[in-house]
Amino acid sequence: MRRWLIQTIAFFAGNNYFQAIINNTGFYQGPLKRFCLPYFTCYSCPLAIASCPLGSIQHFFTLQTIPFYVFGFLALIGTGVGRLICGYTCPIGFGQDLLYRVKTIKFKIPRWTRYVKYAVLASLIIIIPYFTFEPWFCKLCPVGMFQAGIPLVMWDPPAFDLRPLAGAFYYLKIGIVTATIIFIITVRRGFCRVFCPLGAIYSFFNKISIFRIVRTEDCRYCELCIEVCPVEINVFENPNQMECIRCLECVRVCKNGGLKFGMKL
Amino acid sequence: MIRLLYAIPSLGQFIQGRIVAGLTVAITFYGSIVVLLVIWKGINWGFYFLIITWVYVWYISYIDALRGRKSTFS
Repeated sequence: MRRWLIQTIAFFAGNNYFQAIINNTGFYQGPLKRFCLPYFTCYSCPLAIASCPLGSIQHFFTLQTIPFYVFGFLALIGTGVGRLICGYTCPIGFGQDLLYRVKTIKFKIPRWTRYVKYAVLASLIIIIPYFTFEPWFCKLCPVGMFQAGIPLVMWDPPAFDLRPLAGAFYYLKIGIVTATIIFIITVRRGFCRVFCPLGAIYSFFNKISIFRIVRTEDCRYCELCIEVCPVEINVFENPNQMECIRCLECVRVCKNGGLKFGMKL
Repeated sequence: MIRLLYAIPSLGQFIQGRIVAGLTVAITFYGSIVVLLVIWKGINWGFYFLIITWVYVWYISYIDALRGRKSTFS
């Protein structure tokens, strides 16, 4: 099945509460919100029927408890497929794939920027929420702003009356989401590579996951895989690097069968 | 003269026939202004950050328009 189709299905699987819009009720607050999705999405999105794993992690850290349930859930997926979630199901990744197709100026980013997402994970997801009792990544998250902050405030459902709450911090968030959109138009998978803390969590499992990319003896070093790689890694040197988002474009373009995605125990 | 028009976000892209690029820049740049106007709460510290963001968007839009459709990859 084509990747864009899987990404679209994944998006609507987690974001399908259209009654919120039809009935003008804001967003879903039922029992499914106790569960988190494996990919990045905002809890407060009017269409969302489940929680964001990053929001759930922060929620537990603000209560000064360790989120065993969320970490266990992410570890289960990570040990199974690694960052395949990033490449194949994440709607934010899908959005980036689409926006990068816009014909504008494009930039390459230096290698050190890949470490920023680990700093974001450690600081905004774990340490700062633990000590301040506030989910600081959610407060600054451009995805949350795009999926929930802007739509909800523009829509302003009567049950919430959100517009009076928007202040200086909302201005800041408009700026963050605007800058992020321009960034991902000009840098391929820019948000995944530089900022995404969920990608940072999944990246730890890339090398040990049960399903992974395997380089076979048929590899002819044509470097076609490097040309198509959205995160600019040296695929045939090590196809399971932490940076690999497992979009499997390298496997698709390899006509010699030098790269395969399969089970390796 | 035409370079002056490129300084207006998204106009350069439209002039060059890059409609999708022009629309994307326009929605991002002018969209953020519309959202701000809807919730306008006066000038505060967040507004200064927003100005920095607009300068960044304007700069990207301007250099993209200057380079044109032929050199879309740096």
